[in-house]
Amino acid sequence: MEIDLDPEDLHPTVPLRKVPGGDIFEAARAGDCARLALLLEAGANVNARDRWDSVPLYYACLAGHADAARMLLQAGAVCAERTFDGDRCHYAALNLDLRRLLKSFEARPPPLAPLPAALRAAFLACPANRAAFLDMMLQGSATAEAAALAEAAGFGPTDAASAARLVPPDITFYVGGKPIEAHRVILCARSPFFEKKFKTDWKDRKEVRFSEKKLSFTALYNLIHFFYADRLEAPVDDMEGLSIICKVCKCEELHRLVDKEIVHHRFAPYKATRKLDLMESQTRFVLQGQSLPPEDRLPSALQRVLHSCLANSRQEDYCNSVPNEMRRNSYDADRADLIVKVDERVFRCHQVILASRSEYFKARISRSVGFLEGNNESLDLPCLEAHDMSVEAFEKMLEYMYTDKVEHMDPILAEELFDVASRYLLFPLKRVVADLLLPNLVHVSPAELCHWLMLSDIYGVMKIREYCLDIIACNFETFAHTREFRALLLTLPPPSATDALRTTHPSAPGATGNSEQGNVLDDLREKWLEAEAAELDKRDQSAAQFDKRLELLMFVAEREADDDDHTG
Amino acid sequence: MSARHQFSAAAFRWQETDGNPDVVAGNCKAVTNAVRDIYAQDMTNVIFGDLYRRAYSLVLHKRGEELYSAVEAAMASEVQALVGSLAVAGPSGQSFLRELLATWRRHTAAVSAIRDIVMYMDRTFVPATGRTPVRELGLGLWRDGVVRSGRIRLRLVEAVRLEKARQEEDGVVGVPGSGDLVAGVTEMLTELGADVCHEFMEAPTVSS
Repeated sequence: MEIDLDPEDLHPTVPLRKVPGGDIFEAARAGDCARLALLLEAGANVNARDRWDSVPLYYACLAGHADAARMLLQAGAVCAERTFDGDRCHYAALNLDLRRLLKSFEARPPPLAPLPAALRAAFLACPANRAAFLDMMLQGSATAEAAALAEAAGFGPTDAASAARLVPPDITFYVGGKPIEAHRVILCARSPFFEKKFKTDWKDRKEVRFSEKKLSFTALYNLIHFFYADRLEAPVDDMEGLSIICKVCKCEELHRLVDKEIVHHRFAPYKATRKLDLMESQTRFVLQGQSLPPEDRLPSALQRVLHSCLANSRQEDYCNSVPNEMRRNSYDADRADLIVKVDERVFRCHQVILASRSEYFKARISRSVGFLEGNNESLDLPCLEAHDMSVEAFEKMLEYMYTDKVEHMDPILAEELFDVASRYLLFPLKRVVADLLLPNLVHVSPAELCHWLMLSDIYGVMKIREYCLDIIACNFETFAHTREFRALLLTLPPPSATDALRTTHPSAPGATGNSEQGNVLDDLREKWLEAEAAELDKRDQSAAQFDKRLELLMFVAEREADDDDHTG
Repeated sequence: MSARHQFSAAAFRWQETDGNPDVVAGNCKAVTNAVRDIYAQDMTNVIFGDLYRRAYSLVLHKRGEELYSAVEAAMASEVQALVGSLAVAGPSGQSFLRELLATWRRHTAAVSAIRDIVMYMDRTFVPATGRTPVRELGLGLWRDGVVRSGRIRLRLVEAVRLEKARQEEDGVVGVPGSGDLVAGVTEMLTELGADVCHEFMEAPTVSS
């Protein structure tokens, strides 16, 4: 049955078609990975169904686009054979390689949200945790599978660069001699037990050794892993140990769910209809954070931490008269280990969060280790200064870093937040801000829309850029009469290709005049043709007409600019 | 009213730097100066936050091209200077290997510092235009400019051969620290690429 295809067979003989205006279904069907990446980045639902009840993955499989299919799978497309959508994908897959691809993603849990994914990476970056992780993976499954899982977890066999640059753990547990490294702030945020212990017995400890026989290393490891990743993964035969430890750590909801699962497993053999089902389903237990009530999930836990930090940050300016002793107590409670100074305002925050969320802060923190002297009064915490940024924007950024979401944003902050998101390499923040900004764009004037088009092009906020281009293309005449639009035309780079390359075969394979996308006027033309142009062979004439119109508008704009120079 | 105000105020904040060639040139210059200082291990003027911001604003305003070629040129000339210092460094044998490894460590530390400064470029401009990432750029410069360059290549092969011979003579434990030299060289070559390591480690045995 095994047919090995030449790798060359997988590459299409004709160049893939680009679908610059297409939705996620069209992009998947055409195999236009660039467009697909853009749509996914803008937050398109990867498991959405179109009016034929088909998912994007179905089209990618049907048309045999392995790269597009892989991209969708990595974004969390459902592909398990026993689901409706997954079954159709398997059935429609063009060749065996695609089927193998689907199979290889079947056992993978869906991708984590940015916050848990970042923290999980921080946890696994600690050498001891990483070694334990690989060890457990090897026990549980075949080597090849373990390697695949390790890759899915985000690290290959050699990853020296990231290992050298971890946020040092501030506590190490030893269970039966085996170490687990962790960060206090995360443990305290998730478990009242740890919070109490770190206030009392373990206050100044760097390591804690457990000797109780009942405590299982795997169980503690998996629980701490859950604290970071908001996803519990445990072997089924270790469930009893897990239940005990959840109880000790006072994770009540989790304890309840684990106990429920234990009961379920006790009776599972009687319920299963086929022996095979049992074998497959019984080795690992996976619990998603979403199964817990919202207040027990990672974002809410960190939100509470953030609140106490912000409260202390405020005290800094207003209540300098508070006795030192009291201040110190409340400082200990928030466990901050980093101070960021923004415009005279001092923010207390946590290295592990900032560094794992943003590569910029990771570099900045590790680069400043050399000169961490406390130049900030009596505070013996490392201090960074953030320039070019308002206090409000920084606060919003912290909110996003700790909780993965931003609530109630003043639209005036949007531009600054786009800048912050780009500068500090927090790219997913752009999407969050774009979603908050979008409703505000419905009523803005054409002039302001031009402004947002320009900004979204600079900062690469595709969702806003698409929105503006759509509006402009559909109301082109209105914009042609707007002075700001004409002025904008002058600042944009000219449309790239010549007439011949651009439009003769707009949708034929290989008609990619410019391989690097991003020319605003090219995209605008594309949108305009979509909305206004005549069909088929008349399309070229429409395009030429549009180009003439643009040239004319630019001419007008230049004259207006000259006039301004003379009068001003 | 306030929205209108925001439009006019914000719209041209970015254009100040975009339209002004002096600012662009100044930012480029600051980054290339930093490259020089980093290689000279003179960190007094290297302020990470400030340099990062300059590099970021260049890339944001579509001047990634200029920044990239400026950084590339600056790194290349620094590596050339290192080769010069190596060429005159000591006689062959142990002292040469020690010098070479010390220079290699200096180079990798410098590349990682430079990479941090131009991180925004490395994450956005480089993948979008299919350039070589800064880390690989540094490895490539060292590989082709130092290890494979005529003079050093021969001396390296010779020194490694001598070192190995000495080890065999004395027994591996004989001279403390000398085993590390060969191991260090192997490590360096492996990092440069599997084929490079092959090319060097095979050569002496074939010739002898």
